[in-house]
Amino acid sequence: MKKKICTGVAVIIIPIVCLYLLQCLLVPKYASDIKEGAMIKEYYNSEKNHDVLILGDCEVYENISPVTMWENYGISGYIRGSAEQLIWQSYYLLEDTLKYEKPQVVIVNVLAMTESEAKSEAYNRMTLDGMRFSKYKIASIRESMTEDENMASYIFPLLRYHSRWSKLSSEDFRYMWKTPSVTTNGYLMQKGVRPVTTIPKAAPLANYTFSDKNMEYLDKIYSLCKDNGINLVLMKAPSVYPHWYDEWDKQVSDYANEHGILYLNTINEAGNIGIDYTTDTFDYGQHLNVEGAEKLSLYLGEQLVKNFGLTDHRQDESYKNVWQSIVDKYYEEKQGD
Amino acid sequence: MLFTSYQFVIFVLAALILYYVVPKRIQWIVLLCMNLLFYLYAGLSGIIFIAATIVTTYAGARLIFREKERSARYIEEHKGDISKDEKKQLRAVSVRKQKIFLAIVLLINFGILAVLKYTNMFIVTFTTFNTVDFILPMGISFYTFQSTGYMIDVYRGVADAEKNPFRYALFVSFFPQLVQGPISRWNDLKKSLFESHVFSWVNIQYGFERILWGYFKKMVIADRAAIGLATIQSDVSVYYGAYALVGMLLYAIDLYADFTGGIDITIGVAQMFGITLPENFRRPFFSKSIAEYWRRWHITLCAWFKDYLFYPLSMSKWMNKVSRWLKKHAGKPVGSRFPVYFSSLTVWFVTGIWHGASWNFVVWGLLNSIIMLVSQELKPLYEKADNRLGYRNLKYYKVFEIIRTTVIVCCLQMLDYYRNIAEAFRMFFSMFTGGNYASVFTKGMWNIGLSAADYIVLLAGVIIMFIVSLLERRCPVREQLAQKSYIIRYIVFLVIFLLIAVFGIYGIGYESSQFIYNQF
Amino acid sequence: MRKKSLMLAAVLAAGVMMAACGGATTLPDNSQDKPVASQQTESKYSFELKGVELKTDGDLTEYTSKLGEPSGGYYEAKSCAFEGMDKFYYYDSVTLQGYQKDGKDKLYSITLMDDAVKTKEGVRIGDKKDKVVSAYGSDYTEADGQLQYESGNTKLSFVMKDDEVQSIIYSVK
Repeated sequence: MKKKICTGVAVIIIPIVCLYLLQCLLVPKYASDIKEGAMIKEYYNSEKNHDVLILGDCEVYENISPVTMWENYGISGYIRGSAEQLIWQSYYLLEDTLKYEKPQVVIVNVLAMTESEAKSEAYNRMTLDGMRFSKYKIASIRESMTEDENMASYIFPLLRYHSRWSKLSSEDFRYMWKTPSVTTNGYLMQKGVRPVTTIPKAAPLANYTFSDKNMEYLDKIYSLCKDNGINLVLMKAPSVYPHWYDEWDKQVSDYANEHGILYLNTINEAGNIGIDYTTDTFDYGQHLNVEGAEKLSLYLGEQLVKNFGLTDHRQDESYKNVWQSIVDKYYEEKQGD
Repeated sequence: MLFTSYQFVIFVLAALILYYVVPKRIQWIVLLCMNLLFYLYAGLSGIIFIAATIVTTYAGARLIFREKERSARYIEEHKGDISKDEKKQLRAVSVRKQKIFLAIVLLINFGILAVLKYTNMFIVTFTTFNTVDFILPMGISFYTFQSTGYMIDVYRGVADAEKNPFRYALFVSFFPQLVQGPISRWNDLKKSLFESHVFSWVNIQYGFERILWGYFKKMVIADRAAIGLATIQSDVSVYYGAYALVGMLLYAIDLYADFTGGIDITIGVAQMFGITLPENFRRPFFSKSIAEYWRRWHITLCAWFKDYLFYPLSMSKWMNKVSRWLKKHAGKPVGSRFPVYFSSLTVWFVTGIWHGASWNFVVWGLLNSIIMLVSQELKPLYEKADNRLGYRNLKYYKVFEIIRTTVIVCCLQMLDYYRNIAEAFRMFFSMFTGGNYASVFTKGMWNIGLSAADYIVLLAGVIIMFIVSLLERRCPVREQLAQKSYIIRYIVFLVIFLLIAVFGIYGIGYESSQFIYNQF
Repeated sequence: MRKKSLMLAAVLAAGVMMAACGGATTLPDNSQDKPVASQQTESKYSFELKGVELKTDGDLTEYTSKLGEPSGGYYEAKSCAFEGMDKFYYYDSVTLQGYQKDGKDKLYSITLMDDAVKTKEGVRIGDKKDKVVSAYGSDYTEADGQLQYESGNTKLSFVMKDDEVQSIIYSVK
């Protein structure tokens, strides 16, 4: 009898183990190509004692350098950013993060407010696949799925990625178990310079109002922060494209005033911050390069200390060692080619 | 519900669990309910048609059966007081009555099928009106044949008419075979369909093995070939010549893997319920002639046509008369051949049109028939040549015959694949005149949606199917495996399972493709 | 004897072949169960700039080489994480946006920026809704304060504000 049960269990377990191994092999690793796909997952390996959590799309993960904030203000920050991150995806990432730690400040980049639906499966995958399994992940998937997608393929990514068998590279074997870290605390460093030579023109839109769904999730983020005693900050990163319409800006600042939260529109502040669009951007003014990101981070750090009186952890032993290695990695990357 | 959908897998699992937990007595009722659910899932409107077929054929069969009994009883009771001639006459009256019942019900059922399936073909061919939009009820071509076959059996006195309409409904609507056959006979199916089944690991295991093999053929081979086919089919002005050849081969692979795979799944699912369905294929690509091919491919359909159309037609009194008249006026060869020729061509006309409501299928059917008739005529010639040269005993002659048959089948299938007679012929001839072989085989082939890796998988798949077919010559591969140790069997099916998981065509990026035979 | 039957077969075969070819010329293919890609009809909406006729999904490289340097400059925007690239050409009063399709640069949209230009049908920014409707007909959809006309692969949108055309956009549907 015992033997029978053992056999029975083995008969079922072995295929599952095989499928799991195949899945580990076949899911994309995003280690050298499209690194943006590896970012969400990376958070779980970090030391979870962050003062500041930053949520949003490429306007945060390419524009803010947590190392600069650490070096100058002793602020421990982490960016949970991903390409085209939608506002509800930010909300569920916040929920997810709160399971591990409770930061003092949460910064949300408001460009996502202008996107009312998921653009493509690829972007969904990059934000959602990296999340650990939880009810928040499921909820986020449900809100994000485009027409052709289904839940099963998120829960069992093999269903989605099995066809990669013909594209497997040595990277897939090397990083089968552990993907390398591609960011420094969520910051994806960009080093080139492509100066702004043309200021793109903005055509009028038919409708400037943020969608109800987006407003609902902004409310949810606000309430969640409030319930947890977290200071919420809304931010618009500096950029010349996509155009940030005044109508959009007004809605955000009205919301911030109404709810008594801080809104930092750094487009107008770019001059004060010292951002020079001829040297500080790597893609004609859409995002900042590392020079620009350091400038913006200095400004952000200053604002955070000024508004929320964040503690300087630089002399704190429990932070020091962890941060030293992050700082080392950062400079190694910055100096490398 | 597609066989290759999560829903189907869940549906079968749920049905199995229910089937084996309920009291044995009502197992068949569970099955009937599951059939209903399966049909409902496809949409409400289809139910009306299958219900109409069930009700009419059930009633028809009952009426015929009762008329048979009544007349037999009457004659039995009045054995003493009626003469032989009177008996004969009574029987004739009764048979005429039965015939009327049969005719009415057959008319209704084939009428429904004809209207739903062929109205548009009629409109397009003979009128200038717009086509109408009918949604073809799921499996109509299959269940109509199965139920009418049953009624003819009752009429012929081969089968008893089922009293319980619900049991009969189960026979017509049994969900695994609803979508693409096989077309079962009442006498073959009724026992295992209605008897109670104790849960048996052997059935589950065998069924599961068969299903896996079916999914392998469908998802790894057929659906992969279908990707390339879709491209080649999309534009004949670009994809001609060598592409047509590639398309012809891919389609042969696709159709075989798709259809036999689907039937494997069907038979496997039925086996899990303890129900035995008839086999539909016997290694068709090992046939040495087209006639043999059609005895080994889609067996149940061909047998249906043979039993219910070919024989009744060729042996009817009317045919006999015509034959005799022709013998007298046109000579013996014509007269004696006419019944077979006429019946064959009729059967193949109908077979063609059964496959699809368009003329390409008709031409395809007739060409099949003509090739068979011609080779029948040439047989004496061959034999004479063989007597002189003795090549028939040569080792490789059989191989030649097999290849010859395969080539003919593949060429004929182009009519099915291109769905347009002129296009099919043009593409066929372009294979000889296209002159683009060099460019296609060095470059073009890799640009029809299949990568080199895909071709390798296809080739490997075909080799695996070929080896399995070779092994099947002795006895079913599952039987052979059953003699091996558990561990070996387990590994074989684990590997197949993993192959499907990785190499199967499914998920985003792939169009979920229906089984080819669902449309018929 | 055999000859006779062979001939019969041949006649039959020939008959079928003829029927086949004859049938094919008159018979459209009605048995396709698979959806056939709908035939794209040529769009009736196009825009003329400096004598060059611009159509959405047209060859962007050809257009821009004919039109010359854009006076307001050129801007390209890379999308997050992927290689996709949107290209903007700022001509006087008109912005052209390009995108990549099948590896080629195509014209994605034409945006009229001010009232110095007008559409072929004579509508310009600042016109009333009535004028749009009289020029383009009433076969439009109204959504989000836009009047949209569709033809072929082109969507022509008039962004309205207070009954006035505020901007005009031709874009790929």
